[in-house]
Amino acid sequence: MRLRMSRKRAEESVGNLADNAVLRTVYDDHAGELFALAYRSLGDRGRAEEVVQETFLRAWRGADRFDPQRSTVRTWLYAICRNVVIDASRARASRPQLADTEPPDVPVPERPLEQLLVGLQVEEALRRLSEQHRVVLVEIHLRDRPTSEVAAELGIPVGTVRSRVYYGLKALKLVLEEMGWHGDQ
Amino acid sequence: MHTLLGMYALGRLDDHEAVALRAHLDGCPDCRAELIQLTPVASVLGQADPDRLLEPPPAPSPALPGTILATLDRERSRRRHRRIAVVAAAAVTALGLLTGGFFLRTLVPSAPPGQPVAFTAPAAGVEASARVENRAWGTGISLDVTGLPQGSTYNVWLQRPDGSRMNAGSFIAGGDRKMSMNLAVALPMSDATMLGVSAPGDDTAILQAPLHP
Repeated sequence: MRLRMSRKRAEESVGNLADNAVLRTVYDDHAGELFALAYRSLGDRGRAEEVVQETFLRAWRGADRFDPQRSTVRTWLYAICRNVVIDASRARASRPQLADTEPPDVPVPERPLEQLLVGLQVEEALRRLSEQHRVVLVEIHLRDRPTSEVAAELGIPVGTVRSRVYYGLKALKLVLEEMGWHGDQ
Repeated sequence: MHTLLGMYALGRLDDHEAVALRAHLDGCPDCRAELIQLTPVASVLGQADPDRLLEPPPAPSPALPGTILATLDRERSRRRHRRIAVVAAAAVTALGLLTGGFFLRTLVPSAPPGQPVAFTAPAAGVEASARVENRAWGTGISLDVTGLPQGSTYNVWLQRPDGSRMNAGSFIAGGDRKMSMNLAVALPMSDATMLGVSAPGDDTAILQAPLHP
């Protein structure tokens, strides 16, 4: 309950990022996801930490431009982080590469970065679902497995799997919305 | 019927079932409305990677929040100094130039803070100097580097006695142009033995300076 209240406070008073306690709450709520995005984009822990640091620095400098009426803290931080990641990828692209230092799966243009962003967000939302809901969505849609096979494996009727898919999708939508998603991706 | 909507939104019903469901949708505004709700979420679900989902999400080092707060602390104090300098300049104008010099000197720190450190044997053509400062939140570093290849990225770190390193930040070298930066590290100066610079992905120190010679 207290956590919830302090989150709410952070959401409302992020303009007051000058307050270290507010900053710490915002960090605890969002740094993990920002780091995951940077790490998956750049493939390097050190650089990912620098991106998170730069994101918070830019957020702190621009805190007076944040408008809680128009976006959530999360959306706002993501927008900053995305720019920092793009800057970091460009900085790296502009210097000569050694063949074996390039990490795998590095999205270079901005569109794949957007996709990665959505993907990571959906994965985070899936982690927050109940096991029951997550399993059917992952096995049937992401792993492309026949409903009957999944039903047999779980020891439940096909009809139950289908209804879990339905309720799972509804739950996923709620979680994504809670995370600031508006269905416009 | 509506429990089939999830499968339908994901495109996972066979043709026969899909046709039957569409027939139902034609006469059922509730199900149509429900489908409209589910369609966007169904379309982004496919962007998730099931293998990534199994891995624990990567987490930043526990020291990172300290580093960030320290950086902000430094930025705050820089702004404060700037403000003091502005106030001091106003005071100078008001009080006249004769006494002004004295006022400025007392209000604005004239020498850069911290103690200088010496880099040992930098590569030919590379020049570097740094000052380190013990702060309540850790160690402040101001670093000037000239002569590293233009456009290359370098990491700056502090090394502990056991040889482990704490990241202090990174910079893009400017060739012959001097690059000056202020860095903040959440490591007390007494816990660090060495300040160093290396290329990402390579632990070899390109520049290093002992902190307690």
